[in-house]
This record gives sequence, structure tokens and C-alpha cells, in this order.
Amino acid sequence: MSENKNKRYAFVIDLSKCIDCNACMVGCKAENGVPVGHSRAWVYEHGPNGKFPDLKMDFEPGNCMHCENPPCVAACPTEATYQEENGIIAINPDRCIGCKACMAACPYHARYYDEKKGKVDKCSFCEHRLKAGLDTACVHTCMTGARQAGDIHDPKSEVSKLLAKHKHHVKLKEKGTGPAIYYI
Amino acid sequence: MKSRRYENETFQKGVTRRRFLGASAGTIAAGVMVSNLTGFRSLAMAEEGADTSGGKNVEIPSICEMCVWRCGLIAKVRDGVAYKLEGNPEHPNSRGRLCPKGNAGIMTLYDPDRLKSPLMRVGERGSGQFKQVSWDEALDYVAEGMKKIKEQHGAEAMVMSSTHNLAQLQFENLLQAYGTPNYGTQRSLCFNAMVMGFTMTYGTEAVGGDYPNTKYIIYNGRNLLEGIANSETQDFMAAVERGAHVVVLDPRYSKSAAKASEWLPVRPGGDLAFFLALNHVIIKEKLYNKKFVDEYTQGFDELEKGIKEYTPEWAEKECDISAKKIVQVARGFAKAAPAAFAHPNWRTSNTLNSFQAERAIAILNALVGNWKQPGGLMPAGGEGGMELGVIPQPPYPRISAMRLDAVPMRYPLVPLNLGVFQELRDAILRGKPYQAKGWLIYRQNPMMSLCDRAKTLEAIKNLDLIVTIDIIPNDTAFYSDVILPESSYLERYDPLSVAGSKVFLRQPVVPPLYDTKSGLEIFKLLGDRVGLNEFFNYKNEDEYLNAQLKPFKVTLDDLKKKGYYEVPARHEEGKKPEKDVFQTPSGKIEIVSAPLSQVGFDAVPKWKDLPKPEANQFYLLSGKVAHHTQSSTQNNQWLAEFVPENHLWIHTASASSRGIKDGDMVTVESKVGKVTLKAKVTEGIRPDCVWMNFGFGHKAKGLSTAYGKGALDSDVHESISDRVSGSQALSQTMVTVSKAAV
Amino acid sequence: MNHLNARIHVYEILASLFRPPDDVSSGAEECGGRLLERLLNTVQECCGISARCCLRPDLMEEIRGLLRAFEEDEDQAGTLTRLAAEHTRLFVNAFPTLVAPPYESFYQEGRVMGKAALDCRSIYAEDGLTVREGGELPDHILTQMEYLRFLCLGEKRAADEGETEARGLLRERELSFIEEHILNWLPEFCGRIQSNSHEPYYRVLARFMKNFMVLEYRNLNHPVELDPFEEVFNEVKKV
Repeated sequence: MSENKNKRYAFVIDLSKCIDCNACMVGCKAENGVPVGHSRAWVYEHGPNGKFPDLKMDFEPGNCMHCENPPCVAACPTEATYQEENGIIAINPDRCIGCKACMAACPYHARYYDEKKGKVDKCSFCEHRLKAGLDTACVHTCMTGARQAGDIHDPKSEVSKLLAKHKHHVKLKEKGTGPAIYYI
Repeated sequence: MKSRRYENETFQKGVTRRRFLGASAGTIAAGVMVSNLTGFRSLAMAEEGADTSGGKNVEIPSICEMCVWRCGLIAKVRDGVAYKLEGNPEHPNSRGRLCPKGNAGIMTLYDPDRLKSPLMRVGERGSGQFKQVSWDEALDYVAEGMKKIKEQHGAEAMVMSSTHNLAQLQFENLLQAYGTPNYGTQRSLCFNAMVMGFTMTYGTEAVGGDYPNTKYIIYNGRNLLEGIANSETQDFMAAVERGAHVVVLDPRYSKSAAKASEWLPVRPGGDLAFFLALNHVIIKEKLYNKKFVDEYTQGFDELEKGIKEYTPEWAEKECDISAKKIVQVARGFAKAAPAAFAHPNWRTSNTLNSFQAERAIAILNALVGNWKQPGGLMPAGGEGGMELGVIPQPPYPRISAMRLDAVPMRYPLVPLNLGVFQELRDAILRGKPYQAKGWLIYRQNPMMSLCDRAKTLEAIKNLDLIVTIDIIPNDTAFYSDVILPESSYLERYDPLSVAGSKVFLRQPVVPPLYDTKSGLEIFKLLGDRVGLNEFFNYKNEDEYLNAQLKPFKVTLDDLKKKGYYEVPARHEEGKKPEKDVFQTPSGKIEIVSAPLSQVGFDAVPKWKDLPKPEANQFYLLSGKVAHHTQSSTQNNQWLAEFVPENHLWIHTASASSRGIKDGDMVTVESKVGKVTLKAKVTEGIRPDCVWMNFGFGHKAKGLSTAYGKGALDSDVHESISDRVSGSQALSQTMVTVSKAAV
Repeated sequence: MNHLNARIHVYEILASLFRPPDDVSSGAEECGGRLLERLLNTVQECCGISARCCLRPDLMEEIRGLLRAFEEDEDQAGTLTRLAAEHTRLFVNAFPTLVAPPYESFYQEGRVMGKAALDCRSIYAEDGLTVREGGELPDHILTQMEYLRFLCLGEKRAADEGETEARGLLRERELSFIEEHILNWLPEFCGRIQSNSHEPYYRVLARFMKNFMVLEYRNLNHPVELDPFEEVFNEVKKV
């Protein structure tokens, strides 16, 4: 797929903007037919921490990190899960045997087991939407713009601009997975 | 089970099969009329070449109804199933985005529990026994009942209540044409204090802040991150990001408080003291905008006199915010002014001081002269409001009967379109000044929303006729005699909606799944049967909408395609008015309110002592979560996943002294009732307050354990009404909390 | 009456079960006692001697018991109203949640108009059928029963014309539908009715429906010549 050459898709999430409304999770569910009881995305609630009235509360959205060095791909016995040229970690459901090795391997707990289908699933970066020139479902609905996604190899993209402007960090850097969700 | 057929089915097999299934005159067996499927209710032979896939993939613009913000949406439909809802970028309330509820509307449409058919009660009220009837039978019954009530007791014996919605026009049309004064809105449970506080000061409650330019905002309980108002929620966060100084007063550490610059855990009721003291500091230190005050306000002198006693030191004792902080906020606010505003808030049904607190807030804005200034307070809701077309009809009958909600007798200043809902309920119970006999409820759940639920259930025993029009079988429907099912918002047309300079259309994105109708149609059918057809001069929804569209250069077909029409700006709008005139008796911003003084209420805000909880009691507070709208969404699968039940927020110290751990079941008891729910032990609330999210605790008999989730604050709330605004004092119920007996 | 006719009648009766018991409109089947009478007669006629193809005797007895109760009922109108209320509570609207939602999608995905509904709609379309405006949803039990009745009617035409191969295809189609759709949710659906209904009428009929569909599944798995019902029927005729 030549259109994927030199692209690297990634998320940039602005932690100060997230209000923990979970619209991203519901939008994703609708877009991707995620079964009730499972979710491809999450928002962690940290707090209230401290002692009344000096309190702090933060929210941390996330989803599959579409890692550079994906432990899930290494763990998959059937090559059902694989890394695309554009960085997206994809799943070929026809090859998935539901062994859940990938789930055990993922340090972010980004995957879930779909009992009905007998297969594992996760965030697909809404690749079907990207191909149609649309943004991902979560980014599309986020009221505050906390979630952004795009091609970080394109210096003109929103995500590239954000990364250039702000200090950013990733989760579990020490594990060397090279996650492609950058938190600012 | 292995699927063997779909993959192996050959074309030939299908042809052979269909030879014996299809219509073919020569092979019809005697007595078997396959071709017209007599007696088949669901299936029919498809016409030659007909599309049986359910429809192409389409995107249909419409309007959300998961709350009252009514964001424009785009519905994506595939194979006749709406699978995704997205914000319409052309709608000012959504700007192309949707909150979690907006996204979850799919599961309201496809909720298996939705009302599917007109129902009539066959058992005792409260037994949950209903049978299906035809629309004709149901409407005839309701109309006969309404006619009988009018004949025997007068039209006023019929109460009609509804929470605001797009078909409100036709609901009000029915109410007024029928001739009853008893209009039950739920406003007094929500924002009477705000509406009246601002109307009496500025002449309108339609005001808002200029978020993009503001440097300082003060909220009094308004929780935009959980009581989401999409576009305004976006504005709130944008202002925070930009570095505006945001102060949130709230006894609870809401998400808005968490994102604000400062959280001030004010004592319930003490908010009035806080704002009185703010005004005191601003006047005393001469931080007010003298030019603006002189030119545009009246009553400053009287305020100055009256405010002397409300020092920050005095206020500290009443609101639990330090005098130092009060002074700091006052100075900060005034310094940032005019790019500063004190938000009018929304739900202000808190204490008997709430109305005056709203007056004090309105006055605070006036003192710093932020009216129509960048970053200040702006008129909202479109000036020179757009005139939609109307269908000519006769004038309404004159109504001489008095209202049951004691407006204006005991509440001389409450506007008729707000009313005092809890008084209305009490009058139904008491039978005075006369006995109500019927209640028609539309898109409202008074059996849950009215404080002191036991009283409401007792009151309805006096009624001969209770009719509910709704989309889900809620508690109010449960106690009704007739239930008329409305199509969900994704399946119906509604009267047009105006947002900014645009006219928006709500239209079906899929055909109704069940035997339901739109409100527009229901009111017309009812109106006709009650003999009021001259007030319902439209045959169908299209005709109604065409009439509304008449002043505009757009066809209904075009509107259906695009979803909205932008009305070209009139050239008058370019002309700026010479000098602002306010819709008050004096034409100025009324710091001293003439109507208030005329009736004998405090003309400038004054402090009143409020009851405080005993040593072992708490203030009971209630509020919102982002995932639910009142009591209407708890059955929505996608939303219930996040918040399947409500919890009682209780401070760590208060909990531990009662042996309560996080997740324990606790009993909350007031003078009027008690409920049980799980505790959430947290630092994020005043130790003398407890808080629960309204909307859970559906109690209709026949409850299956899966849905007996949470508890209802209305079971515990005492009815306490403010004489001035009719506003409910929902935060003045004192409760004890104890670990529930196992 | 032969077995095939009986099956056609049973599907018709089962579909009628899911309309309000007091609804006798538009050429519909009778409900209440009349329905039971027809059911009983139909089942008795087509049940042979062999235990393999009978309904369980205790179930037959329960149905007879229901019918007796109807015949002896002095307040039939009142009973029908009570049954109508129960029908509504089980299948239409209840507070706060339906007891036995009659939609396959509900049992797969907890909603209506799920994948099962779309699949059913495609299946019907393949055979030239569409769901009427105002009809029930494609995966509603009534619609599914109507579809099976429709297939059996086709099977009857094929049988009348001696087209054994065509009849076999139709039986294959019926079996697939029962296997891939009906049996996916019917046991749970019937189970909810049996556990929660206040009315013996619905409890017994739920049990009957479950049993009947299992019988169908077993019988359709045999080629038509070896259909145990046919075998027994022929035996009975010989006697």
C-alpha cells in the first residue's frame, strides 16, 4: 500500500483537556460495533487526591498504543496481529484463534476477548475512517479536543505541531514498547 | 452451530425453492394463498425489484434529544439501521461533536424496553397490568375522559404537564385551547431562581458569558463538565486552557471544580453570603464601574446602604469561605472586569436563599459593568428572534379559574410559564382550591422528579384520569391509566428548532420501529377528538412544517436534505442600538427591583438565616453525571455501562465515624422518607454534606433485581418552596446516614 | 390431517400466540381457548404411536388441562383481559423492563435490530419476502414463526406435486433457519416465560414451543422419506 509509505499514525492526548465524559468510548463503540461489556478505549480517573479541600483530580484517556515494538505481535502464534507500514497494529480476524496470548503480552491491557466471535479485538485506529479521509471516531467526537490523532511524519499535521510545541511523555517507557500515544 | 447453508447454497437451489414459495397462478394449491400471505402479520411478498435490504447507506441530519441542549447531529444509517450519531458541524450547540449521551442515542432507539404500543391499564393503579389497545381506542378514551372532566368539573380540573421539548408548542396549544390554567412545568425544581433573579435585574434570563475573551469566571454550582451543555462545555475548557481564572463554588468537588483554578467548598445556602460580601467589597473599595452604574442601573444607593453589614468577616461565618479569599476574589474579579462574568448558573433549586443569591450574582455583573463587553456578560439566544410561520387559528378561550399552583396568589411574581410544580402536586393532594381530576403528562417523569415521592403517589389517588405520553415505560407511565407511545427522537418529525441564525429540522433517521407517533401527530389527534380541531389546522407533520417554513426561502424537501437553513441576516441587525434599554419597569438594570418591593419582598438582596444540620445530620445534595439525563437514560445500555447505579458521596471522616467503608450499603433518612444505596467515600465533599446523582431508584412494582439499582433522592426530599420564586429548596433537606442493616 | 399440514397449523398457532390474546382482528387466528383447542387437536392428530415423535405425554396433559380450564371458565372475558395484560408484560412493555423480549437480537446483543434482525431480513428477501410496514421486526418470534409457516406451505405445494427434491430443499432451508436462528435464542426465551409468567397458559405454551422446535430440528435432520412422522403415519394408515 504505497499510500502508507512514510506515514506513521499516532495519538496525541492533552491530559489537561480531558473531562472524563467518556464520549470517546461511546463513539468508538458505535463506530466499531464493540460489544457491551468491553471497550477499545478507556479513561482512567486519578483522584480526588489530597485532603479536603486541597484536592486534585486528573483524567487519562487511552487505547491501544500501536507500539513501535509491539509485544502482542511477537506473542501471536498465527500472525493474526501484525504491524502495518503506517504504524497501526492491525488484527486479521480470520487468523485469530482466540488464544489470548496477545492479551497477556500487552502491558497496557488494551485488548479484549469477544466471546461471541471467539476472537480478540482492540482499537483499529479507525483505519476504515482514515482511508475515507475522516478522523478517528474518538477524536471526532471529543468535545474539548483532548484527543488528537494523525500522521507524525507529516510536519503539517495537528499531532506533529502539538509534539513540536509541548513536552510529551508516554506510558511504560521502560518497557521499550515504543507506544504511539503521546501525552501532553 | 456450524453454518452450512449460506456458503453452500447454490443459485439453482434458490430458484427451485422459490418456485414453490412464490406467487404463480398456475401452481397455487387449493386453499393455500401463498401469494398474498393471508393471515400473515409481519411478512408479505416483496414487490418485483423492491429493495429489501432496508435501505442504502445514508447520512441524515437531525437533532439530538438526549438532553435539552439539542445539538444538531448527523445520523449514519446502514442497511436501515442507525449505527452512529455524530455532531453536525453546522449546529452552534455541537460544533460537530457529541457528548456521551448524544453518542449513545443509538441505544435509546434500539432499547428493547421502549414503549411500542398504546397501552391501557387493566389492573389497579400501581399493579403494572396493561393491555395493548389501538390508537383509536386509546385516543378516544383519553378524549372522552378529558371532555367529561371539562363538562363536570371545568377545564381547570385537567392538569397538563410537560418538560420543555420541541413539540412544546403543540402541547401548550392543547393546554390553552382546552382552557386549563394548570400548566405543570418542572421549572421550579430547576431554575426558577435563576430565571427570576436575572429577569428582575436585567429584564431577561437569556444571558451568558463571552467565553473566548474572558479573564475571570465565577460559577455557583454550575457544573458544565457533568451537567454537560456541549458547546458551553467546550467554551469552559477553552477558557480554562487559555488561562482564565475560574472560580467554582460547590459543596462538592465536581469535575468542573477539579478543572477550575479554584474550588471553594461553600456551605449550602452560604453562597448568598459570599456574593453579598463580594458586592460589599466591590462597593466599599470602589472597584465598581461608576460610569456604567450611573448610566445603566438604578438602585445603587439603596444597595450601598443595605450591603454595609455584609462584610467578608460576617460572610465567612455563613459560607465557610475565608474573608481573605472573599476579598481576593472580589478584587480579582473587579480587576479583570469588564472581561469577567459571574455565571447565572442553571439549576438553582438549592435553598431559600437561592433566589436572592441569583439577584446578588446579577447585581455583581452589573456593578463591574460587563454588559456586552468582551469577556463579560452577553445577551444570549439570539436578538431579534426569528419568527417562524404559524398556522392561523382562533384566539384561545379566556381562562378565569385560578391556578392550582397558587400562582399568583401565594407566589405573586412567578411567571405563569414557570409555575410552582410542587404546589401543583400539593393542591392535587389537598383538593384545594378545587380538586384536580385529570393529569396529562408529556416527556416528564413527575412520579420521580417531584420531591417527596410518597406525597405524589398519594396525590394521584384523587385523579380519575392519568395519561402519559413518553418513549420509555418510566415510573409515571407505570401509574397511568393510558400510555401513548411517542416515537423516539430518531424516528420522528418535530416543530422546527432555531439556533442562532439557523433553522434546524428534526426528522426521522429510520422509520418508527413500532406503533408509535410523533408528539405533533398525537396532539393533533387528541385535539381533534376533544373538539378543538380549529386549533390544530394541519393534516400531518409535513403540512405543519411547511407552515413554519413559510417566511423563509427554502422548501421542506431542501431542509430535509440539508438539515438546516441559514436565514440571511436582516440589515437592521447591522445597526447597533444607541443605548441599551433593558426590559425592566425602569428600562435600566434594576439593582433595586421594583416588582419585588411592590409585593413586599426584599428589594435588594438580604441575608436570611437558614436551618443548619444537627450534629449527626447532613445536607442532602443532588446533581448530575455526564452520562445520564435525569431519570430518562438509566436503561440505555451504553450509558448504564459507565454509571449503572448512583452512590452516596460521603466525606472520609464522616464515613469512618459511622463505620462506613467505600461500597457499603447505607441508609439515608429524612423526615419524609428513607432510601438505601452504596456509599462512595471521598475527600471530595464537605464533611457536613452528602450527594447523590438524581435519576436512579426506579420503583415501579414488578421490578426485576437487575434494575432495582440505586436510590431516588425524591423519596427523601422535603417540599420546601421559596415564596418569591417558587423554587424548590432541594438542598435544605437534612438527613442522617448510617450503615444499612444487612 | 397429515404431519405436514399439522406443522403448518402449529406454526400458524405459534405466531398467533404472540399477538395480544384478545385481538381477533384482520382474519387472525382465534386466541385463548379456541387456540388451545386447535392446538390440541392438531397435535393429537399428528402424534403417532411411536414415542420418538410424540410430544411428551405430560406436556399433552398440561395442554389438555389448560383447555379444560378454558371450557369451564365462567368469566372468559375477564380471563382474556388478564391474559392480555400478561402478554403485554411478557412481550411488549413492562416496568421497568420486559420479561421476555421476543427478539433474537436481544439475546445476542441486548438490543433490537442487531445482527440477527439483519440476517433474518436477508434470508426472507432471498425467498421474495419483505417485512410489512407495521409488522413486527424481522427477528421477532412472530415473524420467524411466519417464515417457517411460509416455508412449510411451499413444502406442501412441492409434496402435493410429488416434487421430492424440491421438498427436500425446502426442508433443508427450514432446518438451517431453525438451527442458525430459532434454536439460538428460543430456549432462553421460553425459559424466561416459564420462570416468570404468572399464567399457566403462557408457561405451558412456552414449554410446548420449545419442545416442538426441538422435535422439528430432530425430524428435519432426517431425509423426508425417513421422516419418522411419515413412517408412523404410514404405519397407522396400514393398520
